[in-house]
Amino acid sequence: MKRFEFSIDSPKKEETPLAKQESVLNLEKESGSENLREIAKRENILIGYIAEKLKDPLINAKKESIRLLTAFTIFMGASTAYAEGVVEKTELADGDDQHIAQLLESSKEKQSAQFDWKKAIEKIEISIGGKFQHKQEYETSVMTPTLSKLGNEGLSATEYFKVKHDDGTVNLQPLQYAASLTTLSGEVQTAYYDKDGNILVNPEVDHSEVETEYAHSSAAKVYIESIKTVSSNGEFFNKLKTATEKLGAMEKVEILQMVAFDLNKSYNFDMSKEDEHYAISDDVTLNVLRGNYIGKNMEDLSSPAALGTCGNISTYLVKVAKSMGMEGWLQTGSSGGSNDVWMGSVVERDGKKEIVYVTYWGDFVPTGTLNYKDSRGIMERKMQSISAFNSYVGNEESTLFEVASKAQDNILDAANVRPVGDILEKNIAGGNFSRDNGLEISINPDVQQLQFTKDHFGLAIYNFSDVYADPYQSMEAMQAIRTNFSFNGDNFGLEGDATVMNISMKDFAGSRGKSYVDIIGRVAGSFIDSRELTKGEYGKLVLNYGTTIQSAIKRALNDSSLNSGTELKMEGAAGARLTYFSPNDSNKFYIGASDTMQFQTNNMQEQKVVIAEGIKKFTVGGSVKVHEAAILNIDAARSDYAWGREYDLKAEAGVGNVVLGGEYKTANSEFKRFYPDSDKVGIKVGYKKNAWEVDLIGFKKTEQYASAEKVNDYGAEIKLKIILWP
Amino acid sequence: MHDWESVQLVLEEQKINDQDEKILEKFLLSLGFQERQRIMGVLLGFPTECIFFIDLLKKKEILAKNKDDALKDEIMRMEKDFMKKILIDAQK
Repeated sequence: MKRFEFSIDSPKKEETPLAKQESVLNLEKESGSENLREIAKRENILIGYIAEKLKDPLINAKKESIRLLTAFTIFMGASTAYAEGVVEKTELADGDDQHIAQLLESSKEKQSAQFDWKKAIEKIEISIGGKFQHKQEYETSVMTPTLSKLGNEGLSATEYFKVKHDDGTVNLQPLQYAASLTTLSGEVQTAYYDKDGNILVNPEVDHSEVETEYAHSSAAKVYIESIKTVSSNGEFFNKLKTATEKLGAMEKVEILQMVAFDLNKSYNFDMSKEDEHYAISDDVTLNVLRGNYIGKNMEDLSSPAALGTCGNISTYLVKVAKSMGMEGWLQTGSSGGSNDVWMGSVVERDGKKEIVYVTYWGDFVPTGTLNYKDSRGIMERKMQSISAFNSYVGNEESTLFEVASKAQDNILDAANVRPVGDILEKNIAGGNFSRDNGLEISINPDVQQLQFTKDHFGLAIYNFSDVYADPYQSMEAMQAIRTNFSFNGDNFGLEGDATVMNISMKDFAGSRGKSYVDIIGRVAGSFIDSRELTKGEYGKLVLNYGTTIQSAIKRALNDSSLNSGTELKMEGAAGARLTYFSPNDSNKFYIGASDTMQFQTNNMQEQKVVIAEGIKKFTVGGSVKVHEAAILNIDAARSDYAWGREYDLKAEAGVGNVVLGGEYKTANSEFKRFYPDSDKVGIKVGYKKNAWEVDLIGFKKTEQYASAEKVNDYGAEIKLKIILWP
Repeated sequence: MHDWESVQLVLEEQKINDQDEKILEKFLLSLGFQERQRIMGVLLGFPTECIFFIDLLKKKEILAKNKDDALKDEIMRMEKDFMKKILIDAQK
């Protein structure tokens, strides 16, 4: 390649010097102002000359060279003006630095650059981590509801029937349920199913011939006797309260299963399909329940009255549980790709308390743990799907807050769906939109990530595998690929991600279960502004403020479920940070506040979307130079969540090349069943040298859920950061 | 956002003495925020050039106090040579 020959002539002696001005640096001697003005003039010529030369296609200038050149021209002009002391606040001789930068960088843009990895990957960050996890073992199990029989007086008229087989033999089979079927010719027929769900052929019902077998379940006896003898729901609950006093926890669960089983016969498919939900009164629900035992015949049973959906049935189950003195709450999630609601409770089995769930069709799912986050993993395995944005806990009156499962955390991480408050915090902390170009590689035993960012676009790959064989992690494996964009101006920024993920579930027995593909999209728009409130010899006050809104959607690639499996998330945050900078910028102190709002359903029955307050956060901190080579950063935050309050204190000291950091985080929960009281202590030791940095991070975390023992958790991580270009 | 503490660490690595550090600090303080950020960025990005930048700054300060054509020519030569060096590097 032809080399550019650089040649600049010295300024001509006859050039007219600028009018002389007095230097602020020296008033007595003959100052060098005239010399400096000559330099300034010459510098302006140099800048223009360089800009022209850069247009030469033979100069394939590297970005770092242009950057150094730009910075040097700014330094050159500013230092001359500073020495000359011609202005109080230094301004460059020929326009501002933006002007020079544009002049030089636009020259560079005219070049046709070949792809250069050194230009593309300006920074590489590698982090390697690991954690110690208690080996947990748990064998899942499920108990389906059973038809219980009480004897002739309590026997439903439809529990047994005769079946004539093709070989002429006749036997009795228990009827599990009946339903209307429409044949291809349009004829409506009643179909009868056995306990395994098989349609029975030619059933003949003759109950007079049936010698009933008796299960003698005291729970069933209490339930059916209560149902048959009450006239209002209030009466029913009172009756259950007194009648179940002597029953054990599992007998009460049996009643819950029977209620669910009976109500599910009246599941309202139209409500589910139309996605139009409404509350159903307890008395109406009771009447439907009673209809299973009073005044019903085969025809009535084959076309039961429509009631409600999972939200209505599960809400009623919670009320039944509470009337029997049990805990009860509601949990939303995903079931086979559809949005679903089920109820949760705590029971003691074999002397050990555990969280259990009852589905709206009566399945009883024990979880073997009091750790709520973990317990959600068992239900995900049961339902063979994981929710991304629909994991709310609620009571019979309202939706409360989200509790993410372990698998859900992985999904949100892979899809880059962060809390909107975190995006806002980053923006208002710096007062601008910042985005690091480069390659980030993160290697952990269970998660490996690779993220490449270049200017406005990014690409990421995420791989997860359950190397810890954790029974409460519902995913066996997950692979995700994500594209990312970001467009930022001075005040407005827009960013987004589109992620395709292949999820392989762990089935209920522990081996690989169903695999499916989900797509998650996310868009966040931000506004920020900054105001310098005061500036003087005592330093300056800067106010940064802004707002961010974020919306995300999850949809299955092949959605064939009855109701929509689409999940939506919408949230917004607003906040401000006031920072004081000392005169030489060596010290700074700030206070900040932010508030987030989110859309969620009002309750599990009506499922109307309402605005709810998310996290209120107050921050305070500072950066202080404690002596020549040591800087101390302290940040403290208080976050008020719907479930409780969290305090976070971070301190970091940089002494020469060594960085020492510590963090203490404590959470006080008002809902200890779902969020634990917790304490976390973390320590970081880092070493920085020119273009690389290594951090050793360790933590100890203690958690305590309601009714549970304290549990300690430990973790360690090594982060290595290599910076090819700062 | 670049901060002064990071620049100080670079200056320490480059064995810049306290007196020279003060000269640079005083110069940076005279600048507006954007200009200061840009120059701090280049000091952080090109640590080995810090000595040259400070040397140039000191020479200009001396020139401001005393008229000295020889020093003026030296400064202009230094600036020209530095730019020339970057442009040649850019072609490599």
